[in-house]
Amino acid sequence: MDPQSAAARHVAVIAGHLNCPSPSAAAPLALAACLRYDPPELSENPPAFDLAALRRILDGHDLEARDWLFRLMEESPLFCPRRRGDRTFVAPDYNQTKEQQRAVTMRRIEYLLRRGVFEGWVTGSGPEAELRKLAFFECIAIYDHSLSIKLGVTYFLWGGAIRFFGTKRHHDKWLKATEDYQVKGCFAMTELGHGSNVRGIETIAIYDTNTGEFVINTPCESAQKYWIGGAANHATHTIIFSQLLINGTNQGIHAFVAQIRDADGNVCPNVRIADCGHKIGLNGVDNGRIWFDNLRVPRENLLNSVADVLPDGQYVSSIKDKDKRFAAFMAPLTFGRVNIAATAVYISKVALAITVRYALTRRAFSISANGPEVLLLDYPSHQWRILPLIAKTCAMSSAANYLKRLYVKRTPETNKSIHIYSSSLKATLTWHNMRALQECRKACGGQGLKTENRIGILNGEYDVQSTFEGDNNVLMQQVSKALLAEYLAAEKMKSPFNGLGLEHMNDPCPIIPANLTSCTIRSIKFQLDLLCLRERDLLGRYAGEVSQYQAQGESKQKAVLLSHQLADELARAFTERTILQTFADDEMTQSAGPLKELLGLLRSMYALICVEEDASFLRYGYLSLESAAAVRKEVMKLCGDLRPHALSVVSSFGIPDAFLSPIAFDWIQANSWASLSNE
Amino acid sequence: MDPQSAAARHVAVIAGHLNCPSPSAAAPLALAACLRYDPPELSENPPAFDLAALRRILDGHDLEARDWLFRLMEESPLFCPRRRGDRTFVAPDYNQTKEQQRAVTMRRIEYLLRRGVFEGWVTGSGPEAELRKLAFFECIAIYDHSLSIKLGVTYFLWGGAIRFFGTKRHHDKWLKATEDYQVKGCFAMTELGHGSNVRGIETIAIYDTNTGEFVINTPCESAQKYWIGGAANHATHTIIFSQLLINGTNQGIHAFVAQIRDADGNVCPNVRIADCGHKIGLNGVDNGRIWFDNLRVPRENLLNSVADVLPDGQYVSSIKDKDKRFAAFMAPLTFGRVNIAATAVYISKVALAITVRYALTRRAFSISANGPEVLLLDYPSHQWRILPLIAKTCAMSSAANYLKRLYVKRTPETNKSIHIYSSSLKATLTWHNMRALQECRKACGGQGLKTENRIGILNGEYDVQSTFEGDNNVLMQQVSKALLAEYLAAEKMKSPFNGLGLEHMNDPCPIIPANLTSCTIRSIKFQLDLLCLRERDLLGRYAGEVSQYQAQGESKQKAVLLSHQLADELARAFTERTILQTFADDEMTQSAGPLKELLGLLRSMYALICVEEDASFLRYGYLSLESAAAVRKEVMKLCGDLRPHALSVAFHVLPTPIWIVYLSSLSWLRHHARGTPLLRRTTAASHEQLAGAVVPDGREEVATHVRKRRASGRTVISNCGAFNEAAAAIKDQ
Repeated sequence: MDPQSAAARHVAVIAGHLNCPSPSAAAPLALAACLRYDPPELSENPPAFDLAALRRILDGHDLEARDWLFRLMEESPLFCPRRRGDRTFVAPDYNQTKEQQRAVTMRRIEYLLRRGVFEGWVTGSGPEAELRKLAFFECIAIYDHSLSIKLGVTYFLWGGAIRFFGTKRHHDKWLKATEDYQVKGCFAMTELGHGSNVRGIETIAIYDTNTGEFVINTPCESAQKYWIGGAANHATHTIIFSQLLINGTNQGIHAFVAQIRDADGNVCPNVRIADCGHKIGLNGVDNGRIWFDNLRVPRENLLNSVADVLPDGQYVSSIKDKDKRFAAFMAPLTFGRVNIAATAVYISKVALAITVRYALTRRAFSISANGPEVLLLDYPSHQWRILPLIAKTCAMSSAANYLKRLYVKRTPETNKSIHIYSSSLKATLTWHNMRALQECRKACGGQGLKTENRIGILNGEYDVQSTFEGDNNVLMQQVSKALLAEYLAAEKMKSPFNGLGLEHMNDPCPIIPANLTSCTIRSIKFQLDLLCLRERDLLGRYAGEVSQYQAQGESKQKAVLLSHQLADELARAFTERTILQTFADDEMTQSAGPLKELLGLLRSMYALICVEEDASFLRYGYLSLESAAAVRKEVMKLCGDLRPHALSVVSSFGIPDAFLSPIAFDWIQANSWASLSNE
Repeated sequence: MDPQSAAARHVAVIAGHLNCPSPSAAAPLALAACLRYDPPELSENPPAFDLAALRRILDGHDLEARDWLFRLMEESPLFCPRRRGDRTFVAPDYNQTKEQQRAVTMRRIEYLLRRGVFEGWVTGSGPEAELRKLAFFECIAIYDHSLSIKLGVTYFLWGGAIRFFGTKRHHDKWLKATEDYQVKGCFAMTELGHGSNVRGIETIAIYDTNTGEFVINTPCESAQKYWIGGAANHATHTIIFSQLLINGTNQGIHAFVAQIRDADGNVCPNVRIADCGHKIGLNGVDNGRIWFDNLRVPRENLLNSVADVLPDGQYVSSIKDKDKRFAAFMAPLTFGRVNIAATAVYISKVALAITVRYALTRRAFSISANGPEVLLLDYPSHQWRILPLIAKTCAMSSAANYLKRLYVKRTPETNKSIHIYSSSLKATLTWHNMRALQECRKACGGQGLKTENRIGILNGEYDVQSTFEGDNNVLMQQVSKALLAEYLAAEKMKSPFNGLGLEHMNDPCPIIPANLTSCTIRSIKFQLDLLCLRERDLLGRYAGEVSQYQAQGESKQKAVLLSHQLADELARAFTERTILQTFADDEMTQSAGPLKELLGLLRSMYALICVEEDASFLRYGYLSLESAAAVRKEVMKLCGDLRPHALSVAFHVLPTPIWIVYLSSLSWLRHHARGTPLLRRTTAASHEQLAGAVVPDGREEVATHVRKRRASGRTVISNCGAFNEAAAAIKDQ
């Protein structure tokens, strides 16, 4: 009998007892460890590549700034450091009412403010400053989504609106005060009756020439402002989105600034505010509802960068087209989508790092009699659940970095691309995040349900991502509509495709080889060809189906609605091809070596799991049944190839240990009776 | 310009202002309704079939008992009735710490106890009593998962263990006290180091012949009992699962009874207890951790129905095989799986009823210039998201009812079937529930995130279902392993398949026609043939792959692990075929008529969405590309065919009283009138009104109610009167 086996240890313990004349006289059982925790750093092979180099690729920018901010949070008692075993973890206390969570969120903001985290967030400019802001946001978000959202509302929705819709008078008055968190702005756009369909909002502003003021009203209950972050407790000012009526003509949606609380925190006259109540997450954010009753704001409070009302009531705008004017007002939401997409990937990293570490230390079931129990990550089924998620997360990091760079260097010419990429990546990366969180929570079994282990609670906290700042389904339908417009334009003009990576449409249709070898399947060319083939075919099919419905007498809009399934498939094909391309581009920048090899494995896993998980490849015949079987087999092989690197890859995610959770380390010690006294 | 359009109304409002010399002198804007709430009962067609009859099929049993229990919960202030607009809803207050949630859960149990809800739960027997218990569990669960789980631990895990593993001495001592909730038992099985793999637990019991006692120990930290529901605060007793060592030989897992708290609630000597802490749901359950330090229990406390230790220390058992003995100890967990499966379907119903009602009253975007905004449920994409979930939920109700009937009439012969069906349906129905909750939460947009609208919070509360009482993935792998055993046995014995619905394997392979008409696609024969074909082929493939790995030198166990993908596909194929069959059986019992037609539509939708969502049909060539396209087209047509029945199916036959269903829907505008959402306890008078308004088949009542309100002009969403009333209410806070 193996002297180290559990049975042998049991028997030894018992033997000790049986040697005693009476068990009652025996010394208490020695609490010897039966299951032993082996740190994965010792049980796994050392990294085969440079971890720091991979982190540089995945994080993309501002690694030092991130670490500085992580440390700031770890250092403050406001961030609830908690002792588990011989480690300290920081995470909010979610066993609190929403009132308590809101109060502590506010105190955390004040702390970060004092430490200078927000410097330049409103008054600064330039690509580097913007990238650093985005990095800070990602870091704050992995501590707590409420904290990041509450800051985002004030600094980016309110601050961005003042900056981009406002002119000098607004900048002078509010930008600095916003950066110093003296003015706490909110962003009153959505209403009870209208969320995604912003153009349908019902709040009304009219202009009073006698006093030179706008009079703003909530004409009915469905027009109450709803979900307004910060409104319920703390906001002092708000941007009000409202229809603007001039001489009986609706000029469409405009943005006005109004103060809603005085210096003492009392709600201003002609404004009523109520709470949105308890939510399934984000309870640290005081979402509120606002009604306006003949609220008067000075004429100067119209944010007038694209349109203005002169003192005599005359309406003037540099953008004559109402649709374009509306689009101009939606621009600051783009920052939100970029930020949400990047954050979603970061959260997946937290969950995967915890899950992989746990799967390398937790065993279940033996597969041979008296054999040791098997590590979770050595089950082929567990590998199949987790490793593709890691590859996706890495590939999506590249895509998020691409989007961020595009955004911070935006020009009028790139606006359309940014809109489409931010829509498709916001939807796809947040869906991925929810899936990763759900899979990781289950892969950790019951431990995934414990709030202190983070994965489960992140699920509730981040659920909102799939519907806010543009419902994911709506965004993906918009992406397909935009691609359809490109297609129709190219067809009509007989001009080549240009932009959005659609240039491959100008080439001859790629040929997928009939007999797939492992080597072919793992080549970038095959993978890109296959994903391009799908995109090309689906775009043609979608255009065909829409025009067929139109030929049957349906309106264009109705035809698009009826073709929703192809639209979804197309948007997915476009997004996955984009992600693969950005990831392959990052791989190409590396010189040959172990890191590049690893990136190749991850890229192959990303491309092939996309193929494996989308039935389109079979449904529309892009792959034969034999080729699909070969792809599946290759995914299984890739699981085996990536398994030895799992720990290294998640280690290079750059998430500090304190932001992981007890099951990522010695979970036996963390749960020991002795460690209770430290909690 | 259409005078009813929003734009026209806006202009009218504004015109009023412009006629005034100065806006400052104008009267405040009249709060006219811009968006109007039209109750779906009035905007939708009347039901085309007998709603009560459909409810009887879906609920399957104990409709009156369910309604009685719903009313009990509605009547008590402990269940947090809350006024929203002109309605009252009951739901727990989740803006509470876990300590508060645990305390109120306990008070709710005491209330239900006083009202006699648990009578016969431990001491009663017979299929009817068991079915009623199951019905009660489902009803309690749609109020709050914590409440149902906390009861389940005591009544079914502890109570069931005493009953099934114990003998007369245990029954006499504990059964009645358990039913009266004097003894609050818990069930200490899982440990920190071992959950699904129960056989690996490390707690050790040895027998002391000198004193006639067992000495139980937690030999190391990984052996601490973990997740034990009720242990942290309230349990007085526990079943301890432990390895039993007799003369140095491990006899495997046995169950012992021990008291862990005295009458004053103090933890007993030689026992240590700690809390499992805050969770993402179920915070009303006090999950705890337990350590035993030389805890001594009398020899009589071994639950000895299958094995015993005589006073002299001799071990005796009627079951010699350790594996079989272990299986006998796992038996009470079957009740849990049956209950979880049935509950999961019930929760989906709550979410779908809310979502459908909201989708019939919420509009977004116009598809033509100045046209009205479109109802969510009139979007083809929204129909595709929601209507298949309704069909699945109905089909799974039939399957859950089948499982419950099988369970309550169990015999030694049906044990294997019950184990397989309960595993596959527990996994499949809870996965479905999670998916339905997630889809519904998103389909309701931001409103789905508000705790008061229930869908979102149910997601967190029910997440545990997919891993407790057997991890879903592990269960499905076990199902496939069991099917493989059947296959190998039939092959070896050259005997026909018998049981588990596998008899179709004895027939010739079904032929799927090449050219599919709509009529063929909607036929039971085609649908069953196609699902049987998939199951048959996958079972053969799975057996082939496993034996191929074995031929390459892998052990049987390893070969099974490597074939996990086919195992998953096979288990899914088996389960979906079973569900389709039980649903078709229920359909067949109906005589021709509108209800049977509706069931046919739902059954077709169920079968075809299974085909649409499983790539196996394409991957293994059960369907040609053309046929798959025809199936997809048919699903789209079925969406159109089911759309008019959505309200009738999802709401009226829903086995829940209207208070839950109306939550985010009927009064979604009205209940947001300023001031009303804040918590306000209802008066006794309003309870009476409410009780009067709730009838099991409430449609007519509701419609009349709504018509009356309309006639009296109170449907104007926020007239000044309502406004002042609401403002006054806020001041009262």
